[in-house]
Amino acid sequence: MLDEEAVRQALEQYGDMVRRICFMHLKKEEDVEDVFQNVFFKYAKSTGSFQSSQHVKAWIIRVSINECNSLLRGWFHRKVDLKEDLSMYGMEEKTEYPEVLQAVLSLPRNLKSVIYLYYYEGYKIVEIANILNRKENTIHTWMRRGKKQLKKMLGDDSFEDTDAGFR
Amino acid sequence: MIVLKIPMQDLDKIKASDDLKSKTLQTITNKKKKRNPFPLFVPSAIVICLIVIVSYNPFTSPQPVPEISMIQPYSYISIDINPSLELQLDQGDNVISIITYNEEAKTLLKEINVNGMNAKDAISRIVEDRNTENYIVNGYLQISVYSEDEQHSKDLEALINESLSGTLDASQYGCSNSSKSNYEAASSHHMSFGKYQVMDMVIDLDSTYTIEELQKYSMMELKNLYESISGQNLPEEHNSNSGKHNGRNNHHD
Repeated sequence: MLDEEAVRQALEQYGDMVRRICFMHLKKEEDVEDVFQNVFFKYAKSTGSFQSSQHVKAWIIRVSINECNSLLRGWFHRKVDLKEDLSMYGMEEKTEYPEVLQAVLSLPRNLKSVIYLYYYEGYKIVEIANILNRKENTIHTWMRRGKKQLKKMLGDDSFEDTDAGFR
Repeated sequence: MIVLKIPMQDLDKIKASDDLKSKTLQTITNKKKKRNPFPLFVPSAIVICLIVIVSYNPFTSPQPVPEISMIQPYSYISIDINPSLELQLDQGDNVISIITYNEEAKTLLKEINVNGMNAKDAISRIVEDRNTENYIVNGYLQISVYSEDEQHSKDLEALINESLSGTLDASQYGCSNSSKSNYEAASSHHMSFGKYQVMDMVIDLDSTYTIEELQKYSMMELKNLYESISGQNLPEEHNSNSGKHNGRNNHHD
């Protein structure tokens, strides 16, 4: 088990990122708190045999997404239509592009994870495939599908890209 | 090179509050302090269980291995999107055979092989295929499950729903259970039971439509037709009430 100082450091370094992943997937503050604590508890329980800080980061991302997914698999979360309302985060006036954020948040879970990791965290497709433990082709498919859905919601001008340009 | 115009920088504003961090640290410290009063109990119990399981393992004595052709399907999954096909599964939910109902399905299965795959993986493989993608973006995926073992059928439906919810928007697909009579009625028309179920619902609302006529519709067209006649969305659960339209031969005037 890792010592308190190591956990404190991880909280400082990756806390915001875990909170963002929770924001992407969860709608209720109490769920966010549960997932946030579980992620860092699992980190504290880990052997700490990480090869680099990049390895720690990728591990924390994977655990965070898995934790969100397992919580959302519960009966309550599958049956109850939770609000997609940014105002509950007190963000609606601060965001420059609330409609964009809403569109990304409304994507199915796997698609928004890929969009987030690629566009926000800057991971390459092959790295995302490793983090999510999926084949590269699957990630390509999700990325393509996510972008198509975003374009449908936001209009064709929202992207200026070519499919051939994946890193 | 991708030039991204979608601004994700709004996410910079999402921060973990100091309160959340300190609460987390506190919780972890408290959990660490709780020690297991029986540190050897759990591993010992596991070892004992393993010994018991191994000594009764049926695989340690020779068992007759059934021929593939002898395995009877235990459950069935129909997939319509417009490739229309049926996966037949063994009791372990592995695909043992596939029936194609149209040319699109035959083309799709030339590209991918899902035989022997677990049902969940097989559906993911089909849904994630590049050929299927256009159908999904512009169409509607209907999946239906049937097994004589009702509980198994429900479990399978839940598994598929869970898997699809991660990849598709709820408006892009529907997954439901089917009855034995619906399954048999669809088989007699040589069509997938998922599509048949929706056709049955359309005919219930407007008996001037015929099975033969609706057979030419894509899943999306059928869904739209149902919604325009009924004035409501295609329900997620639409168990057919006993395939009463088996052999129906109405004509649309």
